[in-house]
Amino acid sequence: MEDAEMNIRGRRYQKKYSLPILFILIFICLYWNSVQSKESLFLKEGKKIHPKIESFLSDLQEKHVLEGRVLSKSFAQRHNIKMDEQDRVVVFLYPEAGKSKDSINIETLKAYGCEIIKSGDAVIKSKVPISLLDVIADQVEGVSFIKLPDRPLADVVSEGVSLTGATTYHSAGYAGENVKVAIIDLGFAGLSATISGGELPTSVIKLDCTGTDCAPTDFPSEEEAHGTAVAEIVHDMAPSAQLYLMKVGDRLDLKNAKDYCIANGIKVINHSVGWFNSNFYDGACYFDNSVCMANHAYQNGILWVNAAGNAAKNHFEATYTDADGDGLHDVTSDSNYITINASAGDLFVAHLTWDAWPVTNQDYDLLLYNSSKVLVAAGMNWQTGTQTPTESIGYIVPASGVYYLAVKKYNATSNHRFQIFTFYHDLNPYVASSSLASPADATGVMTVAAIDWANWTTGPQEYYSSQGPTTDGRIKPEVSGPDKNSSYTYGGIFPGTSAAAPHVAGAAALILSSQPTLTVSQLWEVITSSAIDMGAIGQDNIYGYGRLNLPAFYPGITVFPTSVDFSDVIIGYGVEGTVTIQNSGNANLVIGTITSPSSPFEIIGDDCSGKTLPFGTECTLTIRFSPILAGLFNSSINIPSNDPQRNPVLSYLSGIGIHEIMLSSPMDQASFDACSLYAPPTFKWSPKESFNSYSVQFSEDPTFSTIRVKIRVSGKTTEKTMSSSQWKRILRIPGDQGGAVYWRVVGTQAVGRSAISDSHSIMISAPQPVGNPILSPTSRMGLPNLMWQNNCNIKFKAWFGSTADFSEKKALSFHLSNPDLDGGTFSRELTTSQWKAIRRLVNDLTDSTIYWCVESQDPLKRPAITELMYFILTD
Amino acid sequence: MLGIEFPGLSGNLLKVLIFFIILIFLTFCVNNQQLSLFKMEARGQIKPPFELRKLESVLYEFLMATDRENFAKTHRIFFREGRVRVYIVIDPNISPTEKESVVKTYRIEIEKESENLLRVTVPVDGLASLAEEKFILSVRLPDKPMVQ
Repeated sequence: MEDAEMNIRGRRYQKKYSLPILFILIFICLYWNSVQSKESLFLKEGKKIHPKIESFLSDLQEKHVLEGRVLSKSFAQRHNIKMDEQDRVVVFLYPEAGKSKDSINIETLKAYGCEIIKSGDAVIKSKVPISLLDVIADQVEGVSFIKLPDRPLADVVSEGVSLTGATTYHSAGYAGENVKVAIIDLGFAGLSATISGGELPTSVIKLDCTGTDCAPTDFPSEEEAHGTAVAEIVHDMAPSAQLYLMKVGDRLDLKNAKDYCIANGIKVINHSVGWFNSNFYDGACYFDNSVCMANHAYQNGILWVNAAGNAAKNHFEATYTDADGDGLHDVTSDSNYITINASAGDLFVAHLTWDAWPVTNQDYDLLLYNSSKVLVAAGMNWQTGTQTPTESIGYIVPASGVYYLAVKKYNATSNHRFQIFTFYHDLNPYVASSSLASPADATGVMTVAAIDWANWTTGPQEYYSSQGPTTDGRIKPEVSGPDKNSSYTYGGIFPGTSAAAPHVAGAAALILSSQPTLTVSQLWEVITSSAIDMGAIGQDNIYGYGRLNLPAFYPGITVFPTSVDFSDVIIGYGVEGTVTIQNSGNANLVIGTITSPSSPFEIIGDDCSGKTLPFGTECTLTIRFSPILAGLFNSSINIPSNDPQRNPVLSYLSGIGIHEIMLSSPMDQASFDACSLYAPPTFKWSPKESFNSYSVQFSEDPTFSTIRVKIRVSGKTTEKTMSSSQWKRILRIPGDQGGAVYWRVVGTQAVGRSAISDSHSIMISAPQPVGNPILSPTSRMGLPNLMWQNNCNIKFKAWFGSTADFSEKKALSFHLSNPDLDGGTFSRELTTSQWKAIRRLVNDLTDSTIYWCVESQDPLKRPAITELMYFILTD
Repeated sequence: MLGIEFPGLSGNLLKVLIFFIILIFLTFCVNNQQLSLFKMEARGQIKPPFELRKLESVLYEFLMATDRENFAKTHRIFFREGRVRVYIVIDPNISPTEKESVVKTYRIEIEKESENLLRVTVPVDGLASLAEEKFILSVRLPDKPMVQ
């Protein structure tokens, strides 16, 4: 009974609940189907292809669904698609072929949140929610296709072109000709449209460096249009520059791109990209980071222009402190948190690094909390000694609201200075100072800040424009460029330092086209020195040297070489050299009359005086150096021109006149005395070419009007050691009192041509009397010793007299074979008879005065005599 | 069988219903990465275990994720056909033979390299053991530069 009742009740319940349950199951199945269909559209296929929606719009819807409104709005802006506050975009809705707009169900459109703007016979212009694009395409009756409104092909030129002075260059015919500029960026979406719209030339060279190397590409599946918009500005600034569009994704791609630029003669690189956590933002090169790349490019003559970044409010910096000991950095005295406001669907990205590069065991972590202070994401790498001091967070925000960032000291022995950067979300508090990413911190990078073009002459800088100094204290940026300029690629304005940088890169191309010989350092100097100062005087950490201002035109004279050294030139011969004058400025160079240098230099060819040189052209002077005398000669050429900075320019000339035969030994004015007769010198010379024979000539006349001695030498040798007899004849040339003797060498060749060397002098010493003559002792009882220095004499006569006039005298004669024997000293004890004969002159009386002197004669038979001397005869 | 009976529902229908509910719940969990993050936080295990100290923490999260495809998409990780793209820094003193052995052992495909920094793809299931390899100094994601 009960069973039957239960069965009846069960059937009743079955009837009562079966239907709702079935509905629930059907709903679940439908939901499941819907989820699966979305996944198949967005996830599995990777790219949604809806037959009724233009691909750009499909991409946008996909981004909106997957990455949230911030990223999709940015994506939209970069593709000339404007999103309103309700995440709607303006589109054209087309009816089916042959039908009018009335076939589209307007009421359904409105029910989906669409706003009709206007309509034609067969098209409706409407705002539609991005997230419902596919639903509208599928569900709204009569809709056959949804596409973006037509884009008129207006000629969009950046406002920065005229503001920076580029227009003046264009008018003067300088548009970046022969200058290669690379735009190294993260993507080049929309390139075909931009080219077909006339905003970029078809000649752009497209390279994808994300593969194993940089390879030609057409960028078939790009999402990021940033590079295209950047290139558009460079082209606006320098329309004739050859652009290289190079896509990179990471540092190794960047290395490939940089190497390509060096190998292919690229002179300017624009890189409107920031790299994070690759150093402590102090310009240090680690692990092939972007700083290494930029500095290497600069070392290879490339100007690397980089956006400063837009992180003035996305940057926080402090030294870790934890007064309350809770393990988290004290952002303020009562808070551990940096606040962020984020919307649901936003991608939140944050990077933390601290001053412990390149690898560290000092371990900090980066934490992200939601509004309930629940940890929702973290960068918690280990730092145990082999890892970099970095942490990162990437987080899809699930719900709009306030989020909190915190820095935790996990394991560190000291408190480090740290920096945090976020990509899309302002920080509170933030630190605008030192908010440069890499490689804007590199020494070899020209870093560019941004000023709204509408405030170009007054400032301020954009509130987001990153500021210096670098973490190691260098002032940055270098210069400011305009942003928020009109952009064809973006279909509106292009904000950010990304837009400011290509104005500078384009300006660099213009300067190089007008002054092709500039080196990278000169180009850097031209850009920074011509900037109009803003903010603090001189370079500052906000504007750099000021706002970009292309320099006025002026002629520039370059003379090379600046000095001409003709080196050694044989007397009687001439050598030519050239001096080139080049116009390295960007206006005509007018050269005045060039004055001739002093003899023995002369201008023998003048292609320059009075000439007007257009920029980049040159003329030459030919100069001849023809010495007729030996010796060093200096002069200069005075080159006047209309160069306002360098006028006149001097080119210095120098040269040495030399003989064909150069005397080398003895040195000029070497001195010889009579003793040299016992070791005659060797005469040496150096011929510039070979001779059959030489004649060594000696004369007392420097002009060699009479040649007193002539000694022939075979051409096989270039030296002659004099024999005693030859040398004796030479020593006697100046006479008994000595003096200068001049010598030279005359070489004779087989054909009879002869060459004369320069001349040297040798100084022949006059004969010297004996030195320090001594007679001692002078007592009557002993025998005295007679001593003196020979002084190159060989014959001596010692005279003794009773009076000073030697009225009564006695002479003692001596003779030496070589005056140098015994150290050149004469010493002889008088004999008893000799001494007696001397004493007899004074009758051998004690205390008598005896006068004496020594007469001598050298080997040249030249006489000399000492002064009068005397001694007292003692007991 | 379950000890619970719903009046008006046959046993088979009930089983189907429970199966669907479990399926939906699992799908929800798989598709909601934030949930898994919260769970990890609850376990306090975001920091990789010490033996995986050379592995970047986001890669550890990636390994732990129940839906790696989705995690990779939301974290901009290159993940295709079971391989993940990473930077590995190898010991500069490694010999060519040892390097070749490491490459072979972990089925590493080298895309680019500069000195001891290599951009590679590796099978995701070998990522953890690769991080424990003595010649590997660190395993991390490649740079993610940002347009300015």
